[in-house]
Amino acid sequence: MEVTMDPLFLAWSYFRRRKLQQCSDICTKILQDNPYDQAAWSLKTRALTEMVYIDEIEVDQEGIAEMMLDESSIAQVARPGTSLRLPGTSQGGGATPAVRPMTQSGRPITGFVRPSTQSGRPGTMEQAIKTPRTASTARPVTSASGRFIRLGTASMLTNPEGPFINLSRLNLAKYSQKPNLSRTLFEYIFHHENDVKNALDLAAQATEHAQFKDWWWKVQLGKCYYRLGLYREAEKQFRSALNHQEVVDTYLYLAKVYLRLDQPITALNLFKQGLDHFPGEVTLQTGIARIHEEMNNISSATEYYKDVLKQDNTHVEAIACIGSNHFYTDQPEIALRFYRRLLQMGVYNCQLYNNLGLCCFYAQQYDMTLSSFERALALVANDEEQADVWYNLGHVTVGIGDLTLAHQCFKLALAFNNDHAEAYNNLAVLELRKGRIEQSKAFLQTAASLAPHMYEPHFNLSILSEKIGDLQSSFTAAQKSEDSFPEHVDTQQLLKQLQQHFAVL
Amino acid sequence: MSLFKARDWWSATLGEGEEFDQGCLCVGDVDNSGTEHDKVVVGSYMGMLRIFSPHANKTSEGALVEALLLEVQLQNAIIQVEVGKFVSCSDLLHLAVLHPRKLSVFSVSGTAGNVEHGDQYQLKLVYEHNLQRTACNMTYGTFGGVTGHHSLCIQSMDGMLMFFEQDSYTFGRFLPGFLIPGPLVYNSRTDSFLTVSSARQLESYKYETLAVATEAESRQDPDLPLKTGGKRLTPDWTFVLGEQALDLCVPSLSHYSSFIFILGERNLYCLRDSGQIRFMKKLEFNPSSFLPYASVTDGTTNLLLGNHTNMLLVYQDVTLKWAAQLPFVPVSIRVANFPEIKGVVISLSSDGHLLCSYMGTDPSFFSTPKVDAREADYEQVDAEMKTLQKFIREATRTQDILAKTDAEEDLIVTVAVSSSMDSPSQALIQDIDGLTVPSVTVQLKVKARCVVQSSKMTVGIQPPLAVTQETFVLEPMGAGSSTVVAFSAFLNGRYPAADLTGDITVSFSLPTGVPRVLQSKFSLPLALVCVPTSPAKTTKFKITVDTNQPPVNLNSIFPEFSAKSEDKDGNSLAFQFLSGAKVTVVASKTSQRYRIQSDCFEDMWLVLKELVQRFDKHFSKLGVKDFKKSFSGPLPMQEYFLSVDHHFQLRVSAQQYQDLLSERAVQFRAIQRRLLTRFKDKTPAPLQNLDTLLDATYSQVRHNSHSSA
Repeated sequence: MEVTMDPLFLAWSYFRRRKLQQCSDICTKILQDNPYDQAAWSLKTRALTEMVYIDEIEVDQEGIAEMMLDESSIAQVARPGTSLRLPGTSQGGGATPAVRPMTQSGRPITGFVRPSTQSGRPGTMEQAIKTPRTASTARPVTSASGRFIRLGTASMLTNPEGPFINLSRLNLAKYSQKPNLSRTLFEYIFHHENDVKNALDLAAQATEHAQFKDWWWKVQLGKCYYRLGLYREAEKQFRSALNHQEVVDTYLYLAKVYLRLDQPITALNLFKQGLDHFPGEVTLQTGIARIHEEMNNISSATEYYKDVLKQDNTHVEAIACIGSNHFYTDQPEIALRFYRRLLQMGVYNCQLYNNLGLCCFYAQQYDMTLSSFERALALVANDEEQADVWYNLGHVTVGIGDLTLAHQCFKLALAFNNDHAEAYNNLAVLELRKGRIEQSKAFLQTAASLAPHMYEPHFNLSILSEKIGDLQSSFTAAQKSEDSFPEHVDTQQLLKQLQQHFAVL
Repeated sequence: MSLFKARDWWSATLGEGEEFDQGCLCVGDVDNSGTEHDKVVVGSYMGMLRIFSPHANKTSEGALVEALLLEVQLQNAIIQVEVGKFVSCSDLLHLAVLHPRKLSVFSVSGTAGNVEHGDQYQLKLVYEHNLQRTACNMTYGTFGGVTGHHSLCIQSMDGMLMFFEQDSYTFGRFLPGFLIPGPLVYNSRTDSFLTVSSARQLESYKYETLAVATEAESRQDPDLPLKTGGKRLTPDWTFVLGEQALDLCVPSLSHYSSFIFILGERNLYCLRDSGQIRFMKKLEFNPSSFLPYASVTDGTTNLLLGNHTNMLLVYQDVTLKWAAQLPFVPVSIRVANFPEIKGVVISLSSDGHLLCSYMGTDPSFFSTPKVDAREADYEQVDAEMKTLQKFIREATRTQDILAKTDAEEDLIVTVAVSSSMDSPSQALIQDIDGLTVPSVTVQLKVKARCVVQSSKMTVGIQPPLAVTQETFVLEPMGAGSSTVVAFSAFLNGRYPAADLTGDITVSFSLPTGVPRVLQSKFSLPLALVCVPTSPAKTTKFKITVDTNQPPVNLNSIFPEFSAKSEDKDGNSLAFQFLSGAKVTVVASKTSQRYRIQSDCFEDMWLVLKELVQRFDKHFSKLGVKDFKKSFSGPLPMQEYFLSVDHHFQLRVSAQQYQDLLSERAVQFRAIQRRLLTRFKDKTPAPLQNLDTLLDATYSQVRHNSHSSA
């Protein structure tokens, strides 16, 4: 039996059940009959916003433009442990690049890929453009707006007759007076239309209308300022919002501002302050752990990730990061348990099997190794992942001594990802063993040019040049190796030896 | 993402294509059996009302029929069901059913039958209200502190709260600033109503305030000024959430305090009933429904939370205690007690899946799909491996990442220097000391054997010689195609050239992206830098070259210079360099000697070199194999050193001039800077003769640059 129901009620119910498309369709119909139905208009606005909503805290892509044209950098030479931009400012406890690979900005590779793991700040424009992708994420985004623009245009497809709300004809002053519409409209402009300038206008007028007493509008103002790159203004708004009302989100936004301003210590303090108000808040703890990890203070990061797990034992990021930390501190068996846990929880992707395969190999469970990699290969989503799997397989075959197969694996890795610097480096070592010095040298030079932050190609090139008697190139390569990894003992010894040699001459 | 799934105790699929939402599920001892055992009441948007009393699963077929106590098709859609004491003078629980335009209160009663499955249940309408406005949701409670029975409050889609005290309508109030309805809940401790308005704030209205506010019916027209009879309705307090709420709940856990739980779209809030925040938790998923319930530990509250990733989460305050996988997204969650089991979680999905479950350590039903592993036939695999290995070997031999250097070039450059001088001359300096400066055309033919891209050609030549164009950007060429470019070379300076050869460098890339470089040489004719003239008899410097062959006619060796020569027997030839010196070559008539003489030692080199080269060519053409040329006598070291010294002196003085010039330039800039600060200064100060100094330095700089040039 058909039962008639109020369409607006149905739309409202659909919205609550997150059936956004149906909700939007019903609202469109209501609006066709009665274009001035504010409730339907508001509901449709919310549904459209919700379709494209991404938590602003997670959106953190620093484009080349922001990196290079940043004028708000404070200290060019920061003291150790106070900046995220200087590589190698670890305060001890961090793993060396010999044990744990680094990204270009000199940070250890993390166990969990998130937008901000790539926010290394390249020193020069040239470096920014040809950034290698060591964690398959390190490639800089050409512009931070790329993603936002795509979100904006996606909405056009759903509305073939044009945008739902014509922003240029909107009387913002009128809407800012109506508290029951203004917030919805703001979110629509900010998230759906991605028109920060208009959103800022609306927020400014609305906060004025609320007599500067509404914390929410201040947070929104801060978000707009942040998008526009006015970090100090954003900080002011967030601070003021916190004075009105302590909210977790505000702490997260403010910490994001401080991270962008390269003040990790301030951000840490802020997170701790937030934890005083909201004890056990997972997002705040994760924030602390991420900062510690980026500052190469892995042991503290692990402590905080463990705290996160005490609050929420299904936190994938925490499990993955602890797992990778165990792996890089020579405890593959324990890492294996963490990764297995992730698998049991239903994380089912190529990267996980890749990690599982490596852990199995280092934990000497050879029976599982190849089948893990087999699954990883079956699950690859793109060429970079495939290259990584083949690269790891190459490692495994080197380990079992099948150098021909290893050679082929590295070749395959390069076939899938032509700038896989690590594969070039390893291939060079294999070529050198075969005695093909020219080939080896060429591979090493390629690896060094692709990933200048890696010390291995430089060091290998140095050794090779020294063996064939080209002491000058050996010396320059050794110096480069020392630049990227000052504590490397072998490099230092080689340098010393070369210097003695030169002194004798 | 969870390790475990919720353990299935009893489940049912209700109807087909029916829709359910938040209000459609409620539990309670609706038939007043007195056993404290709950029944599950479910109403659907299609108007079906069902009451269940679930048992542990015995047989899958009979379970649903046996558990279903009552199934009624009502006339209207059911948007909410509640169990409470809705009938006056009765302590029994009744069922309130909210339809879009009607509120009905039913009594449910059961009569024991004679046979085993014979219990009979009946639904009896006690009273009903027709509503003026479309209802949205309702709440009930002991409004105004009345004990013993429950009143109902219905929120309409256009923001009116309608109050019903049993079978009578008491009053209706419009909420201020209303747009879209939010969840509505009654807090009995403070006797107030809570809702989350469209302004995204939690608003609390006291029941008394509502009662004395303006009567809703009296302000049909919102534009009219308010009547003086009632007060304008204002909330008791508000709390800005900044997001819409999915659900509100005030669990009555103790008499001393009550907490308000708000499930927002992105956060979970817990507020004290005075409006202060107790805790909040940022949710990293999209929640669908929640239910706070009593906790075993003092001072904490437990919470069931369903989300859109099919999870049922149990929180104690903000700590996650348990996570279980559900087979659907729950739109409503309740906890009920049944005869066999207490505290069963009842969840309802939007398409009518009703599940009674409990927490357990059943692993989640996620299992990894199988990789299509072939059954290995080892012989076949071996054979395949062998053929593949062969392919690989072949491939590594023929093609590699680094291409092998090919024996034959991909590009061939042929240079043809024209034998005659250009007319008119292309030279930039038209004449030196009355002698016209000639130029010669050089033609380059580039032939590609394969496809060549982005090729660039550079001509390198020693000054004072120069060319009309130094770099050429060539079009991409296909296999076998060729391109011809031409340029002219000429003398571009007033001193003799030291070398007449030039280099051509072609850089190009193959289609595979491999960059390649090709080099080639050419030599320009001597006639470019000198003209024939009459021989000079007496000169300062002489060099004699001995050969082992009979003397040759110089005219045949230098045919282009013979035309002007008066000496017909070809014994002497003279070259006048454009830049000055004259060089004479004299061939001995009898001996096999040649003498080169000139007033300028350096200039003889070019002629000597040319002579030796031409001799070589001449005799090799004649087929003479053992042609030798030698220089007897002491090397003219003295003269050589003299010119080296001279050259050195020149360089030193050039360096001196350079230094002086840079010094002056620094001084000039310093004075400029001082002057600038003076001029920019707000209080005018005397120039202190800086201008004179500037002028003087300027003239010095000019003087220096002239002399260094």
